[in-house]
Amino acid sequence: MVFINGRIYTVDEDQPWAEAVAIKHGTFLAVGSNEEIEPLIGHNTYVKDLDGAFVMPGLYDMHTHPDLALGPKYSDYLDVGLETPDPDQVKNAILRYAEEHPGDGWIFGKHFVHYNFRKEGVETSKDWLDSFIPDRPVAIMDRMWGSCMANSKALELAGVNAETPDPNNGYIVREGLTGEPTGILVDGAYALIMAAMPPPPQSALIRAYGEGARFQSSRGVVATKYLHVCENRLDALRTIDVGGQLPLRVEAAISWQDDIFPVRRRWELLSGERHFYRSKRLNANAVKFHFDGTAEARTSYFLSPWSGNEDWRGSLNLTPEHIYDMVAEMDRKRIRVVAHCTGDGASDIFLDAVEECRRRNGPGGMRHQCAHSTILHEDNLARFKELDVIAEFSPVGWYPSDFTIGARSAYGEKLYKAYNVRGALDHGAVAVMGTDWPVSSIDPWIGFEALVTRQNPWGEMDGQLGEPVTIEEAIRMLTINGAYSMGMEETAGSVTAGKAADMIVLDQNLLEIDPKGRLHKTEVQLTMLDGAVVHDPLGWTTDSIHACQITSDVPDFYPKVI
Amino acid sequence: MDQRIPVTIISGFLGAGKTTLINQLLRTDQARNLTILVNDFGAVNIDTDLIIKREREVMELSNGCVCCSIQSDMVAQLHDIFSSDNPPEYLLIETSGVAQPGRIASVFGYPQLQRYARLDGVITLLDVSQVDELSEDTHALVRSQIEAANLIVATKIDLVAEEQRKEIYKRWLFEDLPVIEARNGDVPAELLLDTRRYEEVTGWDEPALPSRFVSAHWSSETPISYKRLQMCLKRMSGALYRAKGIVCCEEFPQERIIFHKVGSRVDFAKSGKWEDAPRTDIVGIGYRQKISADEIRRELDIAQIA
Repeated sequence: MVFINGRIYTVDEDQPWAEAVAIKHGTFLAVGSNEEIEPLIGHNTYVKDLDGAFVMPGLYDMHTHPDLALGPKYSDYLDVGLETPDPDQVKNAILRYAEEHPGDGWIFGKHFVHYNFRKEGVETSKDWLDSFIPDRPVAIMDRMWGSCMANSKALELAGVNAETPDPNNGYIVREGLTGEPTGILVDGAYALIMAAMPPPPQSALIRAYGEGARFQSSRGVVATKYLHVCENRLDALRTIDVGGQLPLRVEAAISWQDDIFPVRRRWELLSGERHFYRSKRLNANAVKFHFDGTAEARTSYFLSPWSGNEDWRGSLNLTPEHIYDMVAEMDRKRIRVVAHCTGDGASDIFLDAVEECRRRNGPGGMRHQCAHSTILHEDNLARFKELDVIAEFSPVGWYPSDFTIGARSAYGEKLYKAYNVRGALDHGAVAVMGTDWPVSSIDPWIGFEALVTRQNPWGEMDGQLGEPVTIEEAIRMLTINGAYSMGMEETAGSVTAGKAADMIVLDQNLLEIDPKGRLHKTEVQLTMLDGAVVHDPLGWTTDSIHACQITSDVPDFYPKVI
Repeated sequence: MDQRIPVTIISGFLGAGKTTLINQLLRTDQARNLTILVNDFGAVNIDTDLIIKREREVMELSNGCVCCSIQSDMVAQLHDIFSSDNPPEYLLIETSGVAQPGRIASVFGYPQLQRYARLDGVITLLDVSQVDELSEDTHALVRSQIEAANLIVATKIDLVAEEQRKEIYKRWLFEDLPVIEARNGDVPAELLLDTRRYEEVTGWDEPALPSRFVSAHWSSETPISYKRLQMCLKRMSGALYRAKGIVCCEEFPQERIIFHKVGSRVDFAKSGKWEDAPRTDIVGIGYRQKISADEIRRELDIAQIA
């Protein structure tokens, strides 16, 4: 295959621009001027005249979660379908669902409203559910405040009885003197029910990953990291991969904790079972853990108190010693550790752990990843380069919006120092971007634009939050730096002869436009991965032997902007 | 005896009069050393400025809206407050007008806090002159505030005729949820706050209250049925603001059972073995228009009859 007459921004310092590329066996055979490439055209060569279109390497989205964004929606759970259903409507919906899903399986879904039960004098309890559906497990969430109503069968299967201790961050509502559960489980306690439930159906996970990956690919993403997986999620990814429908490279990170979903085969996966899933496109050689919390909950862990007149510094989910030992051990197994660090105290300990790991294991270790890097301490910026740790930033707080200014107001003055991409790059760090869907959009172009403007892409709110980087720097972050963070910068991440033929053709020249309000609207006219066309909306290759094999419709996961 | 710090949550939509009520409590209630925790929404902290600071401590929980975030922040901060060298004697949490108090109340059930604190009750203020005028979205929020409430304080009652008020209560509230009508923010503290710890209740005297309220004391040396006592309290629920008691139950003859009723909520707990002769003492406070002291005692007599 040959593409000529392009404006090809290669992200290769030795040859920043090219006009044409020749591709064979999945790699760039040659990159150069039209004159240099034309002699390579044979009779069977597919030739595409790009007519001056802008071309660059494919994008790397280094942190996202299609399963969390879409899995529940596709799981066919009970949905009463009313904002404020009364008890009869809840009952009828449960009975209808039971009829449509016969057998003795779980009935789980949403939602009931405590108010409406009290208004009608109906006590929310296992007894109420038992009165019409005693023989199969039922659990239904309430709409307002994080509680769940379960029947006796569900409580029995979840092992919840008078002797069950309350879990952290929640409690089992009990009859005062006997301690018998009433059937209402609050906050953390409904995780007891979730743990007893079967995992989401494979079909839901397959659809979630399939659609997520398809959308990413349609937006020019050629490689991604799906952080937090379990054996079921890996099975789903493998199904898509084996079916030839995985249009990007995926590095999947096994969850270190059970706080999002249980990982029943964690230790088997980490010991070696993960290699079962390994292919050209898929690997599970990473682990993800939650170290501190979030801004909204004020659980980000800081080196200094949250505000001047108090002691609260946030909280850590795991001890520093745990992290030290875990990072060193994973590193020896060649497993990348991705650490959720929002506060500067969390990333400080994580960097300490990598330093200790380098001391224990010697040089040549894995490139571990500091996820989100929401607030970094000034003194730690240089350590990313020194310790070869990836600084990953997620765009949710990069620009002014109701979310950053409203929900994140807890950060106070710290908000203006958040996502210090500029500082990280200035200190030589390899910085990457992760869209972190569903926290922010899975469309990488929104964060991409905001990286270079630090302004609201839709003009919903004025002002700038944080220091922008240049367009060239942003492009590196989304391409070669991503490849570096996956340990494949020698074989991918730029348009360079000998590297994997990953490239995207765009409708505008990113280096010539005024990015504000425009860059995020960039249209991707072709996505190529390993020399295969994986997205071809204009049908350029339709009649050739290179025709795109991915033909499913592109789902619409663009953010809804009002 | 229960030494845990009592906590009362005051909720209500914007403008319902929470600050007026809290100021009045601070002014009139000298017996308890109240600590006020203000949970405000967003960065602008208007309410705090309105609170009379006096010599009492005002703490801020300016973490944005706790109700729309996971609860661990609140647990951790409250834990810090309760386990500090100088813990409050009584904690009053004023929630933001747009908060769902149920989410805040639920953290007091977490094992991390149960050791230190005991949720006495959730009081929701209902501005009867405003409630019907609010938008549909706001109604959902007001319903969630009512749903979480153990007691309702109706405010701005002089702006709405009595018949209309009754209609509003019927439409918005529950049968078992008592309403206190506040006159100029004036509500006896005994109704809103946990008046005395059990060990201080000497002789179970009936507290002196304005004439629109009644109080009754009932005692007996014959055991009472736990089941029937629960039913009896439920029957009186809408008329009885508060009740507490030490009870000898037929079902648990060896154990002192204590209970605490705040509005619609009743908590029973075991409190060790009887050291003296078992004897039931119950004291309740009700609304004279709905119940008399004799009726309260009669209801309890009925609960005792097998």
